[in-house]
Amino acid sequence: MNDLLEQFLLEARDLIEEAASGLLEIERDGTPERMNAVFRALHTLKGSSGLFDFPPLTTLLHAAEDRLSALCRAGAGVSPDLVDLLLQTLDQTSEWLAQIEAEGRLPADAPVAEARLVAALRSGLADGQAMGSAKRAAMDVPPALVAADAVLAGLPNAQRQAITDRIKAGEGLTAITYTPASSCFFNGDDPLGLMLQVPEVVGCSIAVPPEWGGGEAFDLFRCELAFHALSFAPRRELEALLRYVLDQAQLTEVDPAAFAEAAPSDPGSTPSLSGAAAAACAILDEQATMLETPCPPEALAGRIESAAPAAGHVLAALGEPAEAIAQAAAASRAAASGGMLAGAIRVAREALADKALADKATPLSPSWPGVGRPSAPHRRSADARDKPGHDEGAAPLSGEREAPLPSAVRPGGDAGPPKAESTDRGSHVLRVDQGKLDLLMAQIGELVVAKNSLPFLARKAETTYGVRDLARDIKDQYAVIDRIVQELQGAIMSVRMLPIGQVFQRFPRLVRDLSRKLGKKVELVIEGEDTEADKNVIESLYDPLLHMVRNSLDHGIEAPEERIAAGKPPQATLRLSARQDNDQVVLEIADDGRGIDPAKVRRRAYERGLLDEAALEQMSDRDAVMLIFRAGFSMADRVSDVSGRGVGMDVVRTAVDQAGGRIDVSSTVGQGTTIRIRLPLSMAVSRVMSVHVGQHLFGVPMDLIVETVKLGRHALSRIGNHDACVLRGKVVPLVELADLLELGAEACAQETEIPVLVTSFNGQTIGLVVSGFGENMEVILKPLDGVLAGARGYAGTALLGDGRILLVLDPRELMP
Amino acid sequence: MTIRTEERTLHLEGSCPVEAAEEVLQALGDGGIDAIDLNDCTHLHTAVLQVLLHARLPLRHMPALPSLRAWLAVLPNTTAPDVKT
Repeated sequence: MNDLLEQFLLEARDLIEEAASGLLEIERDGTPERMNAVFRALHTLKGSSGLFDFPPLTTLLHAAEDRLSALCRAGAGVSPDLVDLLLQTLDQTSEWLAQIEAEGRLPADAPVAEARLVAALRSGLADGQAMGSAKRAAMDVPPALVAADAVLAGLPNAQRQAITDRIKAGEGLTAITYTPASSCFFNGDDPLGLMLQVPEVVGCSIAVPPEWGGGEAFDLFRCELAFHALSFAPRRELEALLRYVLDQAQLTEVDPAAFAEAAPSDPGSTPSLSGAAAAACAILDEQATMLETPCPPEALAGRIESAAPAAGHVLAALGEPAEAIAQAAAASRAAASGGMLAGAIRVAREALADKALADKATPLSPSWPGVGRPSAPHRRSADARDKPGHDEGAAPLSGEREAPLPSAVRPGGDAGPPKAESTDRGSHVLRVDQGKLDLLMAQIGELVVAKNSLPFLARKAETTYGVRDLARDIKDQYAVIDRIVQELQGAIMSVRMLPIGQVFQRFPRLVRDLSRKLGKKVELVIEGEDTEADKNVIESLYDPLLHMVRNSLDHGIEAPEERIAAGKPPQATLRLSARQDNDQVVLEIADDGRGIDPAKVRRRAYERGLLDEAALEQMSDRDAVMLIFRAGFSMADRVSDVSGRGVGMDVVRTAVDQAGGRIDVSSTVGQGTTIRIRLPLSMAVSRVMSVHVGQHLFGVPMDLIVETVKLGRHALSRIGNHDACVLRGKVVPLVELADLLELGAEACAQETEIPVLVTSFNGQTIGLVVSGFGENMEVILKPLDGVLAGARGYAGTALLGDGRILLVLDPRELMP
Repeated sequence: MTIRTEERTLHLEGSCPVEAAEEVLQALGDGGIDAIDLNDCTHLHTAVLQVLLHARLPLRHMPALPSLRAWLAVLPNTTAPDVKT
């Protein structure tokens, strides 16, 4: 896979997330402001997809974008069905992206899926589209002359006459000015290809930037051309064709009177201005008039800001000096009056008109029929023309859309907003392959181990070689290195830290879909999404959360009628929250549903044969509730596609265990259930306690250890084949760790006090009898690999400072 | 799509997609070309057209397709505008 595609896949995922969450927000709050964000995300996605050869993907996104843009323009609300459809589109896109990532191509059935979704997206689009463009047309200042003139300049007289005749006969002529965004090639657009499809074209021309004198370097990937066409096709048809680029194209009915004026039967004989100069003068006039029209002071600033670049554009495009305009704009701004700028614009206009009349005799671009200087300003004017049309609204709009004057004047400097945005984002965020970070972290881990050998060296210097001063110096140096390594460790950890919101943000969609499917009303409340945790922890969270949220929706939350009957509001609340607690992340999934009934759980566990009656009797309600995490347990009477297969909560516990976390449930019948998961902030460093078993040293993960006790012989009692003791009123079975590890009976010698490591896992408490306790340490745990990979009972190995290897046990796997 | 140079003329044949732009630019940059032949060209991507426009080389033959020809009037057309038979 090439880098570009890789980058696209990365970005695409973010964009899909963004669009999906935006859609959900729009649906929930009915806020159309979010619409733009969704549209932007889709637009960028479509644009980048065009860089690669996945036509169904681009077409689908295009259709979705159209649908959204029609909605935006119409200002219409979004129906849940439409949200469904758009979400489906996003799903399909994600699916395809996954396929592209895995196999480098789209699945064979992609065109079928594309056709289906595109048809759905397009249906109902026609109305919105028509409405939108009607609005547009009303706002536009008719630029008919611009296109008409540019085209007609290159036409032979006979043809021009034929067009004039048709117009006079009452046929509607539409002038099209299409100025593709300079980044349009990246969107997969082919402006010429599009223009070739324009029906009933009677005249066309392509405008080339005036500064192309030949020889200078130019950017192959920026579209610098502008297209003009005259067509007798119905406007509706043209709009349908140009629907994807309506923001870059202007369609105007040619006014027959204006046309006659713009198309003198014998060009050159009339002294009127033609082509660029006329258009430029018209624009300058417009700007000056706008500035001279009285308006409230707050609107004036906006007018100046829009008029100055517009006039600047026009003049710069014609190769006229624009400095006077910029100076006048500054003066106008300072004086809070449009007069100065208007004056400067008028002066420039007169100069331009004089010059154009004088130049009339000599064609401006003899070697370039129909292109070159005369048509270039039309391109600029298309940009500039937008502004006066918006009038008061121009100030914020121009601030958003246009670069400030210096860069806007630069030919072709008006890159579209999406591009500008993406570079902004790119400058602050660096995407790095996780493998590189892992390598860095592994190396820092090695450094920690290497550093830990220094105290051993110091001891050796003192005891073996008897140089106490050296030993002290080594210790001093150790302290320095230790500090740096700790900072280094902190830094790499913080790089790996991600906000939990990344996982949470997938849930609004899930909850929405499921609750719709189940006919329940659920409000999802998300709290603490800024809480950070290690990337691996975050990633290991999704599955458990998914199962719990599903369970909660399916079993916990009641149907609206049932809730009303129970005196609760019909809409249930599902709360997903995260917070940091020391070096742990605490996640809570709380619902206000019917709660878990311990009696029912007991009964169900018995029916499923998970436990015998006696064990169930002994169990506290709290422990009974924990049974829902046992493999094979399910409360559902039937298997639905939401949950009920008896695997969900078991998966949750396994995943949480693997991530070194703990899970806890509290539930009150009729009031709801809260499931709490505690996870380590980072899995990179594990805390272990070392224990001696005979001559051997082992590590035991700290999070499994409840306490360490030393028991007198008298405290032991024998129950069946096992030793046991009573600790704080509870019977704790004792197991010799040496037996579990098959180390022989050398361990438990006849000492008066027996060290017992009390551990708790899988909901049971077990005392491990060891020979002695070592120290607590932080280690970088390395999983066993190679031939040892399958060895059960070991969580991994860690290197000790003196070079020894510490085997870290996993008691969960050791127990028979 | 085929891009070939023959007798100092760059022939663009078939449908020239966006990717061709770079190749054409390269070919023109290498020098030794003083005309373009679009006789067998069925489509030109805008990016390719832009390269041709920028190079300002004379056109030996217009494309056979009338629709494309109308738009390509912007290309300097120093020799016979007719389609080669």
